[in-house]
Amino acid sequence: MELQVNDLYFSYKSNEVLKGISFQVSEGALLCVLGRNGAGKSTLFRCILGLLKGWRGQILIDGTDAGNLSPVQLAEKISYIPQNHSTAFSYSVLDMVLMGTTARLKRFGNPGKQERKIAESSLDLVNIRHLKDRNFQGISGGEQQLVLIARALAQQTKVIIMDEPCSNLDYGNQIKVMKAVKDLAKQGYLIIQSTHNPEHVFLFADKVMVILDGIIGAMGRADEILTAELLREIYGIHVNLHEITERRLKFCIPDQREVSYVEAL
Amino acid sequence: MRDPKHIKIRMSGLAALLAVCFFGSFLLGKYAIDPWTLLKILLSRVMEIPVDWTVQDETVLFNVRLPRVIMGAVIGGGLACAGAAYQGIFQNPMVSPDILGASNGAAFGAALGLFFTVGYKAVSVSAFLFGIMAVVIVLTISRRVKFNVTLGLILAGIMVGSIFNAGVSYLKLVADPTDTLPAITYWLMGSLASIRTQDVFFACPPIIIGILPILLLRWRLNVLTMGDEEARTMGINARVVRTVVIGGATLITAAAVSVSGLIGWVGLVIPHFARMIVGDDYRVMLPASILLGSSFLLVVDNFARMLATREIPIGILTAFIGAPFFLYLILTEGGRQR
Repeated sequence: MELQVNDLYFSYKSNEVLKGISFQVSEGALLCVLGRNGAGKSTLFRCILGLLKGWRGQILIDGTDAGNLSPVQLAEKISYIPQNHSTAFSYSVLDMVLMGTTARLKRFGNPGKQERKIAESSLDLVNIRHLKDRNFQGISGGEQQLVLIARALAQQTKVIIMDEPCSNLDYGNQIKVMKAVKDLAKQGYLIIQSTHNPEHVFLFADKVMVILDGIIGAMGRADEILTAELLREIYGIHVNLHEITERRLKFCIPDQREVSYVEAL
Repeated sequence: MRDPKHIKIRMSGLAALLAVCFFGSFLLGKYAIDPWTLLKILLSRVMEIPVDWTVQDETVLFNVRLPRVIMGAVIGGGLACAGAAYQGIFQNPMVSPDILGASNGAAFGAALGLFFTVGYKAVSVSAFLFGIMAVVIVLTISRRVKFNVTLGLILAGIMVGSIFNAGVSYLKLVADPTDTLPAITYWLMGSLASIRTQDVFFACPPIIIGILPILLLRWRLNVLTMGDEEARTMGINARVVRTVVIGGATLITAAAVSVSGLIGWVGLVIPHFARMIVGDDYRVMLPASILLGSSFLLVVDNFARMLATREIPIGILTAFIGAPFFLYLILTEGGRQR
């Protein structure tokens, strides 16, 4: 499975958001997308997922033009994990995951035994089978996010797109969710996720893509391309990069003087 | 509560309740028929039984009570189904089947027919057609709303509904206060008293045809409550599903109003009640709503004909029962969620 985007342009009315995005990724990788608010991360995702019309360029999934695919065909190739959110109605965890199997059902079909099996093994993949009969609204935010991941797995696609999966989670849940995501990438899924946390990128990502104002500023291994200058360019603040040499792990802390300067503004 | 076995038991309970309400409703009324006679009259249609009942018994049963009971059950189930479906496609549990103006349109159509005294049958036809027309107008307007499809629909529905409402008010104003005005007013209150066999043949087909696609799409309604975009990433064309459901619900509402007048609250309250009993999953909640809606309207209609010396329009009773019950549901809702 391979995802290839060539020269992608998109505008909301006169406001051009994507200004020629080209990249190529293949399965078995966790690609993190960094960029400040409004840089075009979500717009890029929404184009790939078929939620926005009127983009120019080319989106190829395994060589097939995504622009020509019906919702069902697209859902068989790419799944989407939204930020966890409240729902108007309450469903059991199993029912939530079963929704991921909808694309494989007949036009008027209901999920049956086979779909149930798929859903249960998806719950196993993220180790939350014990939550199966719980009410989705009654479990913790981190667990909800894992359920949404299981739902995407039940869709049985190789490509999974996640929009800031950790944005509403506490520190522990963030790490748990990122670990689950990393495991899936190791098992062969291609996971593309946007994040606002450079630490997560250093800790978990195989690759990072930096979007600066609608174009790709840099793409590659995090420890190679994510420099203090680049982070400054993304977020507009001074950042110091440090490395724990025995673990070959980088992390960043914001420059204190710079932060207080920003606050003084 | 999520145990499938429990849900099966509860569904059988609801089906049994409907059966009891259905047969019980034959017995109740100003003209009482005892159960034994009822059974014998019904059986006489399929086998030879010595006749020991009056012709009047038979006439009341087949020409008055039977159509009324069938119509009550079908309208109650239909309105509950339409309400439940709308709550799903608008991702909002506070929505009722008249949100897109179907009943306002139908009311106007009926008032127009009554105003020109075109005859009973033509009033029904006019109500039905105007009900559908109102929703077609709403759909046409909402296509032009780009930013938020469901909000566009609801706003267009409110607007079109209130225009038809104004039309009804105007017709009442210019109607003859001695006969046409009371006819319109009474008709708008909603009643099953005038239901005859011809009404059953007129309204049942569209209501049943409207219920079918909604029932078939009930799993997709679950997915659609996640929001249009999420549903689409799971392979559902939200626009198509929504249009089909609106079509079905409109057939139901327009047909129901065209023979019974405005019967409110059923479509809003019954789905909530069904949710309390079997949960939110549309696969069971929708059939449960239909069963419960049928039973509810039959029971209320029994009160409508028994409570006072003169028939009470059923629309008044459903409001009297529905509104406080709805308030109760809202007040206890928070406890149920967790």
